[in-house]
Amino acid sequence: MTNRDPSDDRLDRLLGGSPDLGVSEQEAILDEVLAKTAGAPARRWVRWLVPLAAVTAALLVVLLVRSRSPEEWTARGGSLAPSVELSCLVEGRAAPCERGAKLVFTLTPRGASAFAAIAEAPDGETIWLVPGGRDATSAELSSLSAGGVLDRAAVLDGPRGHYTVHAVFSKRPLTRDELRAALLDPSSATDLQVVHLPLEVR
Amino acid sequence: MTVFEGNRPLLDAFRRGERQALTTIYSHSVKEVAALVRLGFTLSERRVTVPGVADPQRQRDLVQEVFVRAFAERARLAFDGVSPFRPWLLRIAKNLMIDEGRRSGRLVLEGDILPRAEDAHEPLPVSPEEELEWKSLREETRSYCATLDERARRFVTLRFEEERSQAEVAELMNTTRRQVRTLEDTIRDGLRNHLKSKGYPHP
Repeated sequence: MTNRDPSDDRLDRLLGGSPDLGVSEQEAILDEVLAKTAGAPARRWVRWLVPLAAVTAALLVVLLVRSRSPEEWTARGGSLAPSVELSCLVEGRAAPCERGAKLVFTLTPRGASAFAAIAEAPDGETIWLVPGGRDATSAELSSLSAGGVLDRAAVLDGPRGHYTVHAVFSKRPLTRDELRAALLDPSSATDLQVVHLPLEVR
Repeated sequence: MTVFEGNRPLLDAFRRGERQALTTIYSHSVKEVAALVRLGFTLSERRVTVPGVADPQRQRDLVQEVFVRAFAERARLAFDGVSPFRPWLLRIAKNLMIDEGRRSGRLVLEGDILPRAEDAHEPLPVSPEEELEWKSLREETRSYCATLDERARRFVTLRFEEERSQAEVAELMNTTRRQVRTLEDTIRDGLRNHLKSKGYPHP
């Protein structure tokens, strides 16, 4: 933050009629934020490459989608990245994901030692799936079954609609605070992979 | 309405970290983040109150940190574009405020606190003393502005109320940026002197 005369800022807020940041403060903050985060301006030849890359990516997506079920996704890093597949059980049998069903996680950890899953419900509520209940940390994967099915399932008791499930693979079990920090600020997280999956609960 | 709704090019530019896109999103969101930081909020179901930040310098630092985190490359690339942007941004702010409260000892929480999207709609009320002081200072500011000539009043409207850049104001008022900066300083000095004359030593 640059050194500013605090009384000038107070006067700007009064002149603007709002007790929140005045125009000069907003401009100063924006300058600092852009200096720390914005990418360099794209060169002209780079701008030509962007649509080309987008077309290539779109073709890849089409190929991937054709070969996978809609609820399976692979993290960035291609085939070496961990992945997770969501499926649902009703009375022990595979079933559509509807309210009351059990959500089952089938994992391919690829070197990850712990797994967590947090869902964002259609109404904006955040739901802890793993760790759930009184669990303090994400699930250790040392005893994962050969088929990759996690021994913890979550009951879908939230509202119907479209959820986003954030699956977090890490090298060690993480507390809820660590998981929250990683999801809110991915730049602070190292040694973990986050996979975002859509989930429709009917 | 989310800032990206119906605007895929903006989302793509955001992910690339283009300055214009980041500026657009910042301008769209900064006031709401600033208000949350100043007022604090309530996590209703947990009956936890996270107080607002009164110190203007600390307010600025927190608002800046929110956007630095939200605009960091990994955060931009991780944002799926489907989830609403506003709750995502406000959750970063709320989490920072909880951490700040815990560090300073003003906030003692047991167990897990996970900010939720709707908490932003439950700002804390301003204290009566603060509200009274603000109203009183605003009234004096209006009195001061009423003494300005038409050109200066237009400047106050464009620059401070409509929050236009100095370049925009210069263009709209058919003048130079240098003159705009001079006028800005003159108006601030005038208001500062006016408030001092009314018994506010450190406005």
